[in-house]
Amino acid sequence: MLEVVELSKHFKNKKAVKGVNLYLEKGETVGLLGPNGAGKSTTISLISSLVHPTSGDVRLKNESIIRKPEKIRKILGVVPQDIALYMDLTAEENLEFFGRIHRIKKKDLQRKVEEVLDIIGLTDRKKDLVKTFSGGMKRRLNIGVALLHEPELIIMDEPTVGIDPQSRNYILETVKRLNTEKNITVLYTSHYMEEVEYLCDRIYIMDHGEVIAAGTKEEIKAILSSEQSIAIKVEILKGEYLQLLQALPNVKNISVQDPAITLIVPKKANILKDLFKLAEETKTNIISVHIETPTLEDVFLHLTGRQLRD
Amino acid sequence: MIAQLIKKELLMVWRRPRELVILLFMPFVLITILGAALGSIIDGEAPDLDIKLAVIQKDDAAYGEEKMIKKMASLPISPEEKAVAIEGIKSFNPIRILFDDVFASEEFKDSIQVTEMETVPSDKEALEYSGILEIPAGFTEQFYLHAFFNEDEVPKLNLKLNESSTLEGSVLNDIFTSFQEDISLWSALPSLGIDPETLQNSIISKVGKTETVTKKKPVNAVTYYAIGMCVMFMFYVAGNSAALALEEKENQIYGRILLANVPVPIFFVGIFVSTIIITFVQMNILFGLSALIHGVSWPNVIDYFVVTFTLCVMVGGFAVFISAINYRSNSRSATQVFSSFLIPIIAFVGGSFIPVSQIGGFFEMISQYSPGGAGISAYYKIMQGYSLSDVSSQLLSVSITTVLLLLLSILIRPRRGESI
Ligand SMILES: Nc1ncnc2c1ncn2[C@@H]1O[C@H](COP(=O)(O)OP(=O)(O)OP(=O)(O)O)[C@@H](O)[C@H]1O
Ligand SMILES: [Mg+2]
Repeated sequence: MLEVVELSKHFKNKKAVKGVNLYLEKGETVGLLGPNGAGKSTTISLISSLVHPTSGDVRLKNESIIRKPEKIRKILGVVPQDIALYMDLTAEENLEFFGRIHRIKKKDLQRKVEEVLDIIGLTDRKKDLVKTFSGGMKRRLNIGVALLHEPELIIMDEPTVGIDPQSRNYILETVKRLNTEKNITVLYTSHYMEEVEYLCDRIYIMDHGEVIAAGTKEEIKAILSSEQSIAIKVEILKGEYLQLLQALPNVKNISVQDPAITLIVPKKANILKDLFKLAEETKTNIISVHIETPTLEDVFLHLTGRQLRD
Repeated sequence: MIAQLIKKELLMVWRRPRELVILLFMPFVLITILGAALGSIIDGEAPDLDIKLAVIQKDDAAYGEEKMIKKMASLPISPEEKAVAIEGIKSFNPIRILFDDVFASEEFKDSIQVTEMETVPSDKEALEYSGILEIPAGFTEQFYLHAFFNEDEVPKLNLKLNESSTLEGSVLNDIFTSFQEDISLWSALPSLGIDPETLQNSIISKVGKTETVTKKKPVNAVTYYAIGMCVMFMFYVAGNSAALALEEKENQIYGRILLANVPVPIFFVGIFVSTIIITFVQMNILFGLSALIHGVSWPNVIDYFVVTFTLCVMVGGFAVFISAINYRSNSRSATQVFSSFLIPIIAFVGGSFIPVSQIGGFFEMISQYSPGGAGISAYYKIMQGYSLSDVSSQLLSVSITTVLLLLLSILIRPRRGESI
């Protein structure tokens, strides 16, 4: 239903988005993954018609939205990265305000507001000012506002940033339900790999304004299919040991989550012997060694040389 | 849709106590403090009028009177009638009444200083006087001819006021407007056959009325500061609205509103109208409190509302203008400059703190037509009992400011597709 073609946006001294291509089919949940400053939010502003691209096109049902943004705005619900709510109004007043400016008829408004409050689980707090809400409750209302006019397509920009695990699960479940029960198409932005892995059928990975990998979870993991990751837990992590590991010829990538070390190595390489030998040399006590097939997190590390989160 | 935007703005202001303090509490406290502290200075000054009046005498009143008595004597009427008429002529010499019964009256003899001169003074000399009165040649004779023979028009005095002495000027203006009305009246009476004694009483009551009109003029200090502070603090509503609008942009609410297919101009109309409403409510609360607690009352409430509304629309213009700059530049700086520098300057130049109209000259001119000064001077005049037509130039300059602000806002409005 939506197609993004060679989309670019250059700010005065920053190329935020560089030739991005992506598409969304009706009913899909698609993940957009990338570290800070990758250009995710900018891409979303471009898709939702709030910002004009420097070049490229966004096509909704084969019509460009750049000159005529009204159509996409009508079917689109956007959950901005910030809490775009009036803190001095109550949850109900916020919903009523955004409902009315979406031209929802007065007689339907009350019902819609109740419906949304129910979906986001805030019915019993509807009379409270938003500024008295917890972070998770604000995030839920932020999503609720985007649901009022029953959009066909929802774009969520990091809807779970900075909240407790419970609220986070609630939101993930809500998104999943919206997708399966109401057949709403979802574009979900995050830098939490596990969220995207849980929710999404297909994934785009962005870095430095470019899509560096795209496909289904399996396809993306297949990038590393000839490799494996080895997680080593040690008693005390020594810099010396790390340096020696790094110097091994087959180690493609190494990352440290003290007191654990993750190595990515080719499947064929028989590296275990070296691991133990070097440990002995540096008097490092190994507690455990796990050999795993790579996760999306590892793929990201492999593609960008960086962790998803700093 | 606009209604929703406005309702939301009103709720936001209502729920923010800090803003209510700035918009309502502070000005009211300042009115009370300044009114009390500086009251003696201003109040002591106001009634102490120092009117310098130059009179250019082109008429010879005594000669006119004599000529008329001779003319009366030669008429073929009975001696009794002649005597009454001549008595009338003698007691109704308008110029003598002006000098003896008005200028020399208890009310004015200390405050009006009359300088008679033959010729019109130079522009430079004229600045020394509060007003210049020209009595045209043949004034007295023309008056009698109209009064007794119904010939000719009622003669007119020429009064030129010095623009920079507002208070003195307004007193002079009142005296002569009233005097001119009086002589029109007197000149009509003899031909109706009313006897001179009744007339004499009428004159006295008329001149008496002049006094009561002029007594109304001085505006006390609390009233002055009520006007000054209200006009100053109304501008904070604009700063406030613009700050709120920028917050909406920064936390992406504005983007959300656009995504609901709300046209950009409608969003700004919302800012405009809600600012007008908030300012209007603010003014009425402040003036209402001043009336209840300090006894500041308006002679004409409708005129007060007209002036207030015109000013509120201008404040709306400021709100839109500052918001447009904020939106375009994506920064708070316009609001900050406005609230911390521009408002104090507008207030000072306009006379919120000291009555700049007493400084006079060029500065007073600027002051009178500055956004704040026009407001203060319009309110001040209405308070003195002037009518709306007397403050039309101030209202016009306020309206021109409004239109300019709105036009500039259209020029710098945020462009399509630049809305983050
Ligand atoms: N209005 C702007 N003017 C100039 N540069 C901008 C603007 N908006 C974004 N950028 C830059 O473009 C790049 C991409 O920003 P963007 O917000 O799209 O990243 P993101 O992937 O959403 O990051 P995050 O995960 O932190 O939200 C950043 O380097 C940012 O500084
Ligand atoms: Mg972002």
